[in-house]
Amino acid sequence: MSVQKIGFNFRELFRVAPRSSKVMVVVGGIFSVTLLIFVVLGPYIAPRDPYQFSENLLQPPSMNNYMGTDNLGRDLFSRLIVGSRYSLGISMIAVGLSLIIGLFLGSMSGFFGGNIDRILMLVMDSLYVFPDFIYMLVMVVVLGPGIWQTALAISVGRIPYNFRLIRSLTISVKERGFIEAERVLGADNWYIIRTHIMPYYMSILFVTVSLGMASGTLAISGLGFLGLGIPPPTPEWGTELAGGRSFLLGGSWWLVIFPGLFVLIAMLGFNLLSEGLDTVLNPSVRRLA
Amino acid sequence: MKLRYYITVRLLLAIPTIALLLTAIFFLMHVLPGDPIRIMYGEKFPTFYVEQIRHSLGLDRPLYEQYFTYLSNLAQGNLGVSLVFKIPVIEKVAQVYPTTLELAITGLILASLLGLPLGIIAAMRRDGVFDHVTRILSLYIHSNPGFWIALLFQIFFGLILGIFPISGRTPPGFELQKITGLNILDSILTLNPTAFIQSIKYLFLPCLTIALTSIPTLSRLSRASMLNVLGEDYMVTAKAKGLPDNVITYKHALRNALLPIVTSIGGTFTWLLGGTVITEKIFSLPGLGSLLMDSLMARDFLMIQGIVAIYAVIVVVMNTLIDIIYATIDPRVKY
Repeated sequence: MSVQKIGFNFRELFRVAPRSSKVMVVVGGIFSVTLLIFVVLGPYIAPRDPYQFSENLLQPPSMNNYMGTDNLGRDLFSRLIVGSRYSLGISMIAVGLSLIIGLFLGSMSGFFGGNIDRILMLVMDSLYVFPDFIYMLVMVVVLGPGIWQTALAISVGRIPYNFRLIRSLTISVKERGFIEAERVLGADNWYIIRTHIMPYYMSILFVTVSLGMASGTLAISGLGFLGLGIPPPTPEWGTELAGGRSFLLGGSWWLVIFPGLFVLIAMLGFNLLSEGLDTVLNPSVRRLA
Repeated sequence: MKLRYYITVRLLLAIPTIALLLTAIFFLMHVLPGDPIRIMYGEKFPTFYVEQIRHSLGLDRPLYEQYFTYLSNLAQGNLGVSLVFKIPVIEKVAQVYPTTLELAITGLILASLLGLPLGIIAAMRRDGVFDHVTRILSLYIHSNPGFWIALLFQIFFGLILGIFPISGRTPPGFELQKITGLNILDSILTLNPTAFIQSIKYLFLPCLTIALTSIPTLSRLSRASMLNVLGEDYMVTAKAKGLPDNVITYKHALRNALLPIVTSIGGTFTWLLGGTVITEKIFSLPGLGSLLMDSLMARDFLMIQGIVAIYAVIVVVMNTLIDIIYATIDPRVKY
């Protein structure tokens, strides 16, 4: 087997994966991709202007308004489609930020070891043992409302996970025999990183990103639900759900059910994708999965 | 003697962690936007008095001086006086923490009672119908946010069926003699059957919410742990010796599989403490989470620092406790 074959070959891995994992990847992938299309093309897909008031207050779902209208007569379906920009967009920024910081600190810690490693481990462990939602709450209040601020607060919650993952990956890659062998054969650092380290990271990073999207979406909608997310009139899912709660007793169930379903579908999509990818991309752990 | 040594070392090692968290929260609180005194007394409050209050709280001194005062007070167990409640932080926390603890502990017990057997049975019937169904089911439950589960419970059990109360800890005007602050335990200690039933009724929905959010994690972990043990060589040996199936399952497999699960229950507990914030808010439970939210809104920074300190202590003590339990039940672990 040539050296390149050890790398990351999704098609081949997918072919030999068990059928249940294939189904998970496909279904989760369809959900996630659809939602990502909403993020990018939301305002073009939404049938109405999500901020436009109308006289049809608190209308139940109908052919005119697929998911009914809210207390200001705005079309809920359009609001939720456009809202994916905030709920998922923020989650994406948070995942990106936490990955970059986690990659940087984790690989530094794993590669250099010594005192840097010890100090970083202490800091990260302190964050890790502490309930992450609590420091997300504190960070959100400290940083104030806003897309970037919320994303940063959420990413802080993910950094310890990514740090630990990248650190252990770096250590295990560093000590692999074939890396040493490649070096002896005259390969330069970039070649080793491209052919061995990146594929090795990638297969695990795909899963991490997908899982991170799920927990990011959960965090942003949870913060929104508590009134600490993106403030109204921005149609973030959690904020919408919290706003709809006050109309529940009046019988306007759709204002609660549909935002909740959007969060549920997003979570389900990302979770299915990460669970499926985990089995497809890391066949060595299949014995346990 | 050895165990005592181990516990001491373990708790000493936790000091840097706690110190780090407290330092971080101290400095975060000082970049917190919004003046707590202005928020409390309103914009029109005379500046002279604001300055006086600021002085009495020591807020006009240099930051490093405030920091050292904070640390030395903390070392003496003094968390300061809440700006909003005007009583010592520790007193207020002592009033509310039983609610959170009761919720987290009962939630964890319920989650373990349901999650562990699910995972273990799934592992024993690997790739069977039960295994697939639990896998899909736990993935589905895992995808439901806690606040969404809580809301659906409130709608279904509270509004539609009307069989469970949807907010508070006890019915209005209800008196229960306070011993531990944990309602269920208190009602047992005072031999009060009505209080017992009421406490359970009020705790049921929040507890179920908390449990449902952690069942998927626990069942997955216990499944993985059980599969790990089932693949060990000593399982083959046990089978080859001709031991009866239930001896193999319960004595050889289950007992070994439970070891890593115990550790993960500790992790789940700390994670749960974060989850109780939202649950407490939805069910209007007066716990640490609700207090933290209210204090954040009011910029009651001494209270926030105090709550974070208490959370840190709970987490560290809980993790140490889990380690000790682990060391006690696993004879292979040496201190």
